[in-house]
Amino acid sequence: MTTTPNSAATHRHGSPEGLDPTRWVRLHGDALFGYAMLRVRDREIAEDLVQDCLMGAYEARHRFTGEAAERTWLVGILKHKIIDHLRKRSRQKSAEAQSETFAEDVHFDRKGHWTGRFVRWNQDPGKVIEDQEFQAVLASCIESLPDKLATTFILREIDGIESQEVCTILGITSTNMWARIHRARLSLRRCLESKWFSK
Amino acid sequence: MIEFFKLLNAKCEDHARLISLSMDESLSFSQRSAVKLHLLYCRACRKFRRDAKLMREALRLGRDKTSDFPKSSTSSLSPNAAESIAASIEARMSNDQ
Repeated sequence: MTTTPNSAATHRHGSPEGLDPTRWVRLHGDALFGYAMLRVRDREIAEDLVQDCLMGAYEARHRFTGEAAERTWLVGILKHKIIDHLRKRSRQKSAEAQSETFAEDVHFDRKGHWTGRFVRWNQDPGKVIEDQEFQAVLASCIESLPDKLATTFILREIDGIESQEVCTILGITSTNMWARIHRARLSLRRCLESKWFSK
Repeated sequence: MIEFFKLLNAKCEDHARLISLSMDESLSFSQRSAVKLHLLYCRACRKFRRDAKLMREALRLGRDKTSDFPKSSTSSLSPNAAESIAASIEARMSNDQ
């Protein structure tokens, strides 16, 4: 990893108090990359987005107020870069087919009844979510979702983007969006059940 | 009314879809009534609704607490990419001096 010998000098050149761009990659590189990877699912694109984010952050360094932590501020910039990327990508693609077919359903039998056994989730969501091990399981369950389901689910359920906006970003109909979110929810639940709640 | 009678015969698969949808959109009166009725006797769908809400709550709490939520433990920037990004930042900074 590269370090710079003259970071003190660069501070004189106008980086606001509390920001140290020379340490961004070392301190936040992996976190930003993981954030982008989960959402765009392509190493090369994720790397480009991290680069765009940090260069953009450098240009916008005077707007950093110190109200949020450095990491939070950088993630906010990255989030915008990711949305721009997804929007551009959906514009380039020809319009999505009106109806999407999904892989064969494992959640219901041929009669439309639930398959699988019940696993009780008697854990407090507030406690479980602070567990680093649970977060790792959650991330790996999201990673195991098909790309389209994961991206749609994350935008809506984690990033909290309004549903109409999600449709615009991804260039899909609301029917397709709800179908994707529902499929993602079913799969995520099954995955968490087998990797976490049944332990 | 026809929709309601159709929904009375709906399977868990269809009710699950409506339960998911109801977490964001408002259902029609027929849909709402049919789901309510179904939930009275279907334990599996009740559990799905409970789990889906719990997942949502956990995800919201998570993103409010951690900016880069959920933390992925597997992905890290390749050494090459890390080095070249750090170098571009430094080049940009020295440009300013």
